[in-house]
Amino acid sequence: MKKNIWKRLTPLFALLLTSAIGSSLLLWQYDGMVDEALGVKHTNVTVGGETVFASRYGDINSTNQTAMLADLRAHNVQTQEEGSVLLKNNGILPLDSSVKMITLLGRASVDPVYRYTSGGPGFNDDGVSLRDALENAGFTINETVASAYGTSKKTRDKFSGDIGEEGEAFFTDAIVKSFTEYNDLAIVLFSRYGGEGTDLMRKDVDGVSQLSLHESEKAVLRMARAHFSRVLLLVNSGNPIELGWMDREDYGVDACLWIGTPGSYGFEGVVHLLTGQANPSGALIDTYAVDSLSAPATQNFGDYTYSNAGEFGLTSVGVHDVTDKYLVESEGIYVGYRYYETRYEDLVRNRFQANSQAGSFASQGAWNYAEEVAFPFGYGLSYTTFSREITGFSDAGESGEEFTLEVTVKNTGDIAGKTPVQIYVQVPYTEYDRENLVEKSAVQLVGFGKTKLLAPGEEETVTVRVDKYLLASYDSHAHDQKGGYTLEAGSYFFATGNGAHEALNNILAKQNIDGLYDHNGMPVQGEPSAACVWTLEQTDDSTYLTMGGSIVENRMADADINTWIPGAVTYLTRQDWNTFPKELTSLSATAAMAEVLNLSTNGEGSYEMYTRPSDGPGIDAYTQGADVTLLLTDMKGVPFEDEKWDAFIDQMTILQMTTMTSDMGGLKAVKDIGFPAVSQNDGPDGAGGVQYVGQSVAAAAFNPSLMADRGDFFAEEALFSGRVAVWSPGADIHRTPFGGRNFEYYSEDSYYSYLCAGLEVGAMQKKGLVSSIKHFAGNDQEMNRYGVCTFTTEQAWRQGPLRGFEGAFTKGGGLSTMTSYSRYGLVLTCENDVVNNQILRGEWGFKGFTITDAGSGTPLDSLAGGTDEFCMNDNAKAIYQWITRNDDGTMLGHLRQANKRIFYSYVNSNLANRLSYDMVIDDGLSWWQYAVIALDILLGVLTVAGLVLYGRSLKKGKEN
Amino acid sequence: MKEYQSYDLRTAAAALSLITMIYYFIQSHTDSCYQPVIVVLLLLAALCENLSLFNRADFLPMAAAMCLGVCFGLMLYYVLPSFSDLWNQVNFIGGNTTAYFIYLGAILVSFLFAEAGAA
Repeated sequence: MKKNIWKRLTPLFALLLTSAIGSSLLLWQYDGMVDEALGVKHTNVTVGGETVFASRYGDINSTNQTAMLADLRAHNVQTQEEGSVLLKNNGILPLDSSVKMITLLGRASVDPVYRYTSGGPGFNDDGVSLRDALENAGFTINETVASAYGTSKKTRDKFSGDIGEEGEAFFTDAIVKSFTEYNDLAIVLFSRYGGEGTDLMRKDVDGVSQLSLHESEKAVLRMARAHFSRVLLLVNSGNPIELGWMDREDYGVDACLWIGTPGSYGFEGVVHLLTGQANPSGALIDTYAVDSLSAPATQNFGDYTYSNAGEFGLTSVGVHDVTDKYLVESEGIYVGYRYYETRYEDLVRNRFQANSQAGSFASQGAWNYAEEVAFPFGYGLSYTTFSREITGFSDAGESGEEFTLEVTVKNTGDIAGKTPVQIYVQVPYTEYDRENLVEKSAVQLVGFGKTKLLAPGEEETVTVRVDKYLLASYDSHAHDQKGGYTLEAGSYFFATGNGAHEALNNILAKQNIDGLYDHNGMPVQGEPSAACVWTLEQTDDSTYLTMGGSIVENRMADADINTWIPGAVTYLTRQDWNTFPKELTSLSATAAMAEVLNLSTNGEGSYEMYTRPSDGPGIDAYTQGADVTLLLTDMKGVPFEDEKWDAFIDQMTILQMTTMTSDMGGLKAVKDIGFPAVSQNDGPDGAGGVQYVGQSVAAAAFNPSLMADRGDFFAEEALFSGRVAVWSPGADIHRTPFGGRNFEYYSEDSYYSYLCAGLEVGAMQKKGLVSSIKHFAGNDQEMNRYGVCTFTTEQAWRQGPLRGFEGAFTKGGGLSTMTSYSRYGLVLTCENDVVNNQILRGEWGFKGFTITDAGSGTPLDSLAGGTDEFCMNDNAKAIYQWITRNDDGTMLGHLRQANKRIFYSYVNSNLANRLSYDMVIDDGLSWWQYAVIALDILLGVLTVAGLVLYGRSLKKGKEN
Repeated sequence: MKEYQSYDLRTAAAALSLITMIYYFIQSHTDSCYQPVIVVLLLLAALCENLSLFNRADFLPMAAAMCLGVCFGLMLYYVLPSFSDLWNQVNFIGGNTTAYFIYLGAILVSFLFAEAGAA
């Protein structure tokens, strides 16, 4: 009997023991995240150093933290107020005092999208829903409708694209009857939802574009139109929902406000706008097309597999083995407004086949701007009106802000308000450009500012400085085909306006072009006084010949599909709009392409392309583990180029250096050199505590100081919580309206992203928060993000996906970036020497560290390709073994560089506040680790005891 | 428990271990998550159970159950990160979670058969 008990129990103990040990290993591996979740610190620093990065709230204590959080909440409310975009107002806003009883329609009204799925904090306990915010403002909400929506079985589902809206059948007699009492106003809230790993769909579960108005939504709108005299639509979406229907009589609305993703506190700001406590001053960060499928980029967006993938063994498995997917961005530079506005100019000038049917989606026949565009980029209304005039211009500024424009803005209405000041430029598009396929947008945003709150009749002159670099175009044929940035001789037209379209019309008016019209198709004259001209007498191809000490030249031919398969694609060129992209569904990989792709997979057995150079040095080429004479605190203020860094790194062992490459929610302490453990958090809509208003809403505020404040608050939060790095902000572009993570990136406009990233990252870095801006770069769709081969032209790469990040480093001084899962051409971003070493570090002068996206990249290729840290991926052992077993001094050199960048970044972060000679690093175990060890030991003892007792019972049985 | 019942359970455990091993071997190569130790443990379990059908050595059924228990724990270690994606509703770690559920389920059932058969 006893024997049977141990026979049964011992295997059970073994199962539990192995499960417990496995789980323990995982918990240990991700100890930084476990600590974070449990609110404990793995490493304690008992004596801190002098304050290098100070909080503006004073000492780090709970009283000051409370004050900071109160201000942060107010900042979020202000961001929502300034970032919401008024798109239509028939006079119902701001609400008059007679509005008391409100009916909320749309299932999302009880279940709004505060943010999409992604990193960053969850909804805060003291967060505010739309209903809370309305009731706090004194409105009474129709409970009958709210309860019915609350018990609805409908759910939105990002995987099927189900928007989760109730249709006509939802409106029972009881619900309709309830409208009678709550009929001062109907607020309709429509949402869209996507997020990490999930784009919105060109065809969703209902068989239509996920961004189109669905039949269920039409039913809601018809119900609202039929029963309410005032209907307000709130667009709760990080993606541009199609709104071309807004003026329809049967289901149109009286007013429409885009609110994006409001985070925990944004709805307070929304209600301030409704009541008139605040006046809308946001502007669209995307073009709102009548049909979202009309964007050239949308033609190639989704799941594309090489037609001969099987033949070459290309696969699509997990994180490491995605080699059979491709994406050709054949729209080139013509993303968002760069397409719609450029084609508009060519249309009114009647040239380049702009009036062809190619790309005509919403137009009746030939392509027509007003029929294709519902609302232009940069557009937004206010409760008042403004006039804008360029009253001053200078080209004598210092490098980086050569141009100074003075824009005089006057409040011509009768309500106080503020408004963005957007500066666009039109660069010459010449015969040379057409011959050499240098593409030029009709307008591009190059600067922005915002007025103060202007009283009726008040005016203000806003000064905006513009970097001449943003006027240059990349020409891959310049300098005898070596490539480079060029400013062509000719006239450069600067203009301002309420959005890109109005600014373009002002430029065209300055050029005496007639036949202009607005986005509604109404004829306009344009305002020449809102434009000015700067003339460049001679073509300048030398100013940007070198940047960051490196020559700027063609480097990305391998990321252009035509390099691998000549003539595979015709990129969209302005000189013939019939080149509007076609969907490239049957691309075949060549043997040469497959060879590169298979090198980076398990096909070769190691995933590694790297081989030790035969003439490379051994590991003795470097000093390792030298006596410690320099602590990290000694490295404060030491320039990156200083040889003292080599001496500092010499003190480390190879094992210590390899450990520094593993970020499992933070880095472990290296006590010998005085480096305490650090934690890092995901963003972009928060730094671990407060869920911010969405980044795209912040961008829509077009307020430079507010954007900088956002970065500053991230850094303040970090100071109080002891974090030194955050994977934030996001600077990929909204290449298409369907991008699953558009909500956490700035805009469709890479130049605007460049400007915003410079401000936000600059503010973070200034206060000591390492900002790992992500996902560098070209994470232009979530579909197949693990390794999709992404192709476009060098000009498009540089002025598109890369440009959005560039400002974070060259303007903001950012010291970190998280690389994208995708591939530049055929090589994973984190393994790509061209973008990480040659462009990021070489041309842009980046001195910080790069970190992979979670689990991406292989150890050796990544280190050689410019990666310094591996996110959620412990490659320390693999790197250590390779270097020591192969006596590979070359790889050791990469590892040393990685460590130098990591330490340089952290010593220039708020970690410096904790560094001193007296610092004591207590790298003890957290309480949960003791608990886990105890459980493992207990199960181990039980298992062994079970075996022993079983053995003894067996022996006894034999003896008997 | 009757001897023939124990015999049936051990036979079932052996068969299921073998089937799981074959399925795992094929599927995990497709998913690039192959771990030799899983195959070895499943094979050992099947071997011990088979031997126990012809040899009355008392430790063999228990050894089979031990192998399966350890195998389950290891499998859990390998696949838990992927399950976090399901929890978080993201595609972050990746992996074929359906197959992982099948592995775990099959190993657990084999273990239970082995446990019961060892009595």
